[in-house]
Amino acid sequence: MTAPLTGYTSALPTDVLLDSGVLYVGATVFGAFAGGIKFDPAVTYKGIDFDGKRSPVAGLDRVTMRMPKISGTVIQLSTTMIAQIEPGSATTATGAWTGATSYAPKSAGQLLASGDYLSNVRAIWQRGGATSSAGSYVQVRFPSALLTKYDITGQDGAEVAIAIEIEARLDPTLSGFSNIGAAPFRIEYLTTV
Amino acid sequence: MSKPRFATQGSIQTPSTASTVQIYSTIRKALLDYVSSDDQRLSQFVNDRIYVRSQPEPVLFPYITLMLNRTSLSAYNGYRETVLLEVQAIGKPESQLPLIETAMDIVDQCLTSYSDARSGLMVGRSRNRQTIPMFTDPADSSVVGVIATYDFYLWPRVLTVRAD
Repeated sequence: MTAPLTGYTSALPTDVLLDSGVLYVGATVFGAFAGGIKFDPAVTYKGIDFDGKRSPVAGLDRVTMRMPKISGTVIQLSTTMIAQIEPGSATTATGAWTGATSYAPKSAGQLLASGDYLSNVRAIWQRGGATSSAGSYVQVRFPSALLTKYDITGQDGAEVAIAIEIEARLDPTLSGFSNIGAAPFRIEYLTTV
Repeated sequence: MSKPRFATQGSIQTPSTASTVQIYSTIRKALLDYVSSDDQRLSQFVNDRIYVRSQPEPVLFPYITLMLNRTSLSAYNGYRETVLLEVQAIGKPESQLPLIETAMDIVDQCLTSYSDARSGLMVGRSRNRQTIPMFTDPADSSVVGVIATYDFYLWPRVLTVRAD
């Protein structure tokens, strides 16, 4: 009898990634998500063209653009998160119409300040187990990032769905990222979150 | 004649998914070892009275029984299982209802956060739970129970060993 051909190896229980993932900003949990967190490196490769080219040629490819993005649907909205989803927004205490506090999004046309960007946005997934070369967690980390897109959708009989997209930004002032061609993210294995 | 009891002490290695009996043992040990968020253990409620399928006779109340319903599909060549683990906490007299509800809170905490990759892979995340109504005469109406069904997925060694 021949056993079925399968992709299973004995490493699967350890290397498998579990659950929907958790989003951190620095050392702080961003919030609870409905569904999983998605990471898309959104890399564009371009091969050098030449007369007579009949197929993509090994050794002539290069990355021309990266637009790494983390997306998901969060179900809570704290006052801390307002500054994260509306970078550079101003906070003012106002009258009865707006309640105790009003958050004004940053005016169009103004450049964002360095402090308006998110630092160390981390999408973390738990591994099935830990090994000496890889800890219990794997993360995609954006050293500098911007929450570029969100919408708030109310739902009957369920939590409000706030879909967010966070894009990585290359910050040349950070160690290891001074090259303009450097990828603005890292994939890292962790022993602790 | 007494009903079949759990495997004898020391005869089973855990954690292991190398056999169905060891899967039961692994779950049973996980339940007994688990310390809840408010520092409680299941043994404070049922001692070590966690049985497979049914309780021995005569039995001390309260007690817990475990029963597995395992399914593997062709999608993973039969190597991956989805498992319904039915846990029943039974008490008598009726005044033990708060006791078994609290015991099942500990079971809930343990089994909805369970993952172990030390032998195969076993992961539990969700459950359905209900307090069953008391039996009526001629059954013993002083018996109270809580039944919960936990959803697991497994890559058990008993199946995946074929691929090694």
